[in-house]
Amino acid sequence: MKLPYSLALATAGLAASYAAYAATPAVTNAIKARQASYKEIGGAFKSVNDEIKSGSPDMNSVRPLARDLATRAALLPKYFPKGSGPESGVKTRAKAEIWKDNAAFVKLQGDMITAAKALDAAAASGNVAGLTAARNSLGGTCKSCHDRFRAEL
Amino acid sequence: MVKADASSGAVRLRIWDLPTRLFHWTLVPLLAFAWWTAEERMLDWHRLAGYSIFTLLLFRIIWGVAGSSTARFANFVGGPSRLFHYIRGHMFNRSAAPAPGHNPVGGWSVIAMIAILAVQVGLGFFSVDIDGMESGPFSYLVDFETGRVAAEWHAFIFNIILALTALHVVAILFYLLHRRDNLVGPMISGRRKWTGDHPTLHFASSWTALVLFLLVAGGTWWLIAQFGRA
Repeated sequence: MKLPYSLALATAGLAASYAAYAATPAVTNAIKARQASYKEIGGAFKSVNDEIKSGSPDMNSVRPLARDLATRAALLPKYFPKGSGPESGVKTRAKAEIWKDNAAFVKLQGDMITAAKALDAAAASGNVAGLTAARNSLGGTCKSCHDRFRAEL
Repeated sequence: MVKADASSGAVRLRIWDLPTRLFHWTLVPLLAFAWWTAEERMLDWHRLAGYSIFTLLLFRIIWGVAGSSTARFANFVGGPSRLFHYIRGHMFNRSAAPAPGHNPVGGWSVIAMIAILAVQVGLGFFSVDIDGMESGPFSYLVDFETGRVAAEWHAFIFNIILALTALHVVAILFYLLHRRDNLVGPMISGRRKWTGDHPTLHFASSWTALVLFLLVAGGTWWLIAQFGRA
């Protein structure tokens, strides 16, 4: 007699937990878009770095990469809607602290956008020392935000 | 290579040459240093640790072909029958004669350790940090995603290295407690207590080892300086 009852309860519980974890399409899309964008950002920044590490960066390669970085950085804020953290159930390293301590996160995001713009300007000017300095400060913004808001799996 | 001669009685038999012992005891702090510099994000030092370990591994592989009897792979790496014969007949038997060098099980653990460390160094060469700032010297040859995969494997494989190290220590404790055989002393002094007929072991010159090591170190430096970007 008790078995069907508990079975129903378990099913309901499972359905409820599934509903809690099933993110809305908008949230899922935002997560996918930000992950894709971060991959592009990582790739472009790595290519800029590879150029700098070669000792004589090819500015013609660096310029479009730096422009891409500045453009993508400016778009990042819209990829972090509420609910797109770990509670979304989607595989993400975005910590819940992003929304708990949102002012700090937005500040760091702003720093990154500014640093990416500066990299773009430095690439346009073609000065290697300026480019290297801009690369360092942009890399620093990656790290300071990752340390605090990106989960190590 | 391993022949018995007629002499008997307890002696201090030389089994490990100096280069093999130096290889072992430099590797230990280097692994700890590589771990610590990664934890502290001192990537300049971490890369140096990696290059040093790479040099040591290359040297050990060459020494495993050109070195003393007990350092040579051909003398301690056996097939499954030798392995099972040792495990069933010798390993747990306190009165069984000790191995003059690596026993068949230990031999495979040497191979496993060298192989996993080589894979680890290889992955480190191509790794890219998530912040895009730090990278292995050859990561410029691969794209960002490949570099990230290499870095993730690099982080994972460290756990396997820890597991193998733990197994190594457990095995040493097993030999110490069950077989009453201290394996650490000989790795320091090069000699172990030996009773009865003792094998004839050939020892290669430490000067040969030094020349080989310097060649390998120079080659590594040239490879990184010439083709690496870090």
